[in-house]
Amino acid sequence: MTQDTQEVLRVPDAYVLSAVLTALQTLQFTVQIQQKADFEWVNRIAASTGAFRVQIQDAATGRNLITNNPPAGSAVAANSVNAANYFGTAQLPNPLLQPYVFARASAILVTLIDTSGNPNTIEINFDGFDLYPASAPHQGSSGALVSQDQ
Amino acid sequence: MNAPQRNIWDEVSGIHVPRHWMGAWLSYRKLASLQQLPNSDVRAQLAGLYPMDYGFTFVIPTQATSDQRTVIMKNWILLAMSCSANKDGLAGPAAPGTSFQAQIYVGKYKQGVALSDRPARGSNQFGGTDLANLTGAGGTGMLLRYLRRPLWIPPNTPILIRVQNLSTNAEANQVEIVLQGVGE
Repeated sequence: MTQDTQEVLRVPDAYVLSAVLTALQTLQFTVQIQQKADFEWVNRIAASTGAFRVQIQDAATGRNLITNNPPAGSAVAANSVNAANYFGTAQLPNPLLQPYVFARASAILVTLIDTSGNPNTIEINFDGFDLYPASAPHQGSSGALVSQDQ
Repeated sequence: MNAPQRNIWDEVSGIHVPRHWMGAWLSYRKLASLQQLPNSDVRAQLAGLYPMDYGFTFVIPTQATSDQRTVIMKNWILLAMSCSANKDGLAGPAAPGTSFQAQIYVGKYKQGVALSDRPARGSNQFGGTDLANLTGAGGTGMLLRYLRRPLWIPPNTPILIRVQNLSTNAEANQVEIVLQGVGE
């Protein structure tokens, strides 16, 4: 079946989550994708003052982007990984070879778990692009849902 | 709006050999990446899949061995691997993964395959890190090891990781291996 596709205009954008956790605290945050356009996540970037673990879920689809079943009796939270294994830095980002598109007006659910035992200032940078139709960028994404199945 | 037809990493126009296809995006690893990253033909096969990472966390007493197994339920493609261990570098600066060795088995095909013929140090198979950029605990997320040719793993395939703690520290070593990839 031929699928109707259109050229895409990419405009650099980044959604930034700034958080301050107390020692060993777990908090969930919502990163709201703006109404203006779908967002293509390309680079994983983060910095922090201490170690932490992360869970990430696409609120629109309910997909957990991380799966982890820690051993029984472990204090490690399920479906979380050490941030140092998941994020890079601005100089050395962790690139998504197949970028992930969040639908506009949807949200990213991010759960942060401090493992440093000290107050932790965390910044996560979802680096990527806003996607606009190249033929009519002023329309934004026109409200149509993103299709991951092309 | 439909997802972009072309992978963003292939959208850099005007590239001339020998400039690397990722050169416009990655300032640091242009040349090194050429040897490690899957090429555009391989990446084209990833279209429509979404990021799905599997973490394996171990808490292992001194010089003990631990196994963990998980079953991949849907089609999944292994792209890259990273690791961390909290007993790395206790005697001084060291690359992530120096305090353990690991071997990965994939129950694919009739007999299953191992990704190395014997356990190898984590620092030799899960990438590295740039100590100058290090924030938080040391892991290899910033310089993870990409497979030049991604490994397709069919549904209902078990993955087993066996880790041996090489640290002589009295405390248990918390080792984490993350298999990064894309799935359905």
